[in-house]
Amino acid sequence: MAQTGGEIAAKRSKPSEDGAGEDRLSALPDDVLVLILLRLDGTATAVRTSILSPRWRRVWALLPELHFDLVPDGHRIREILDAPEAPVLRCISVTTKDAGPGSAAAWLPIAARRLIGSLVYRNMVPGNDGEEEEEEKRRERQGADAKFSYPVSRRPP
Amino acid sequence: MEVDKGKGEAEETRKVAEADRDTVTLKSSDGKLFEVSKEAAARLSTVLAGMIAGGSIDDNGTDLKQIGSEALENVVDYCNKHANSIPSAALISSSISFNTAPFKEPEEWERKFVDRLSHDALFDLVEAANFLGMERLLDVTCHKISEMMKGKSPDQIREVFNIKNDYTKEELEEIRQELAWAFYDD
Repeated sequence: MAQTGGEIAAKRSKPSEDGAGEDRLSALPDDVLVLILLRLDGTATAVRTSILSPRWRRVWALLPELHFDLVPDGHRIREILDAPEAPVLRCISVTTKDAGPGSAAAWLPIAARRLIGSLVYRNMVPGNDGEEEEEEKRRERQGADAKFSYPVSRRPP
Repeated sequence: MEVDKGKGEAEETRKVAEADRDTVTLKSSDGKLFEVSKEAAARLSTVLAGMIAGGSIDDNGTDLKQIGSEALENVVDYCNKHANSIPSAALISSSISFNTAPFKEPEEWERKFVDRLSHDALFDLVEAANFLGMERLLDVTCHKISEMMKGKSPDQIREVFNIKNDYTKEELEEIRQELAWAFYDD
């Protein structure tokens, strides 16, 4: 008995030596984790937290705002919006590049059912002749794919 | 201090006195008492606002059994600092932006306020803010936690927050495949 107690004490004291042993973050309720994910740099970054641990597997799916910047494709977006836990959305923004009408058609109907806020759809179509060149130059000046970024989905520095 | 509950008159006087007070007394789980401005408490916490409006504030210390004294001290400190700070014009205007949520960036003093907290104190404060329905404080603390996650790899995030990765290799591979679009630039 005493042996067991000693073992437990040893196990407990070990992580606390490193500063903090407990996983306080994962212990927070879903709605608080969603508040944290909303402040990360864009939806893709929030989605990547799913590989932290099983607790995080579907937290991102509760985000009330989605910003898809060139990825994923329309069918994936539909799957995401169609998930049983998907909440009411206060904002969805989708940016595509040179997409055909089928791309938006895949997710627009389901988005209409989920959405109570704003919808932003932007399809970047390469213009012809001089305009495209001008566009290219502007992109270069602004740095890597700044043109396709939303204010809320900035990439990490 | 004993309250004479037997005498209706005394009780009445006490209630009037309480209504006149401009502070409320809060009691932590470990029995410590803290005074906070009634106005700030009602403005910053939906739960305290409800208790004040509903008359369930106890003059001898309203029990907040879920909140330890360190966290409650921080809550009260935040309320008092908030009551003394004038919202800057930048804070108000930053909420109006094309297709972004109305998140207000923490003000300088709010940043400093959460930056000085230890890891555990920060999480105690998040929990207290959530429990008390303090939207602004929850914003500020969640902002701090998101900053601690930003620009870090999953392994680094696990290290900072002691998250145990109990996925199997197969599960991890499955997620990476399912959500490949989010990982493409890794």
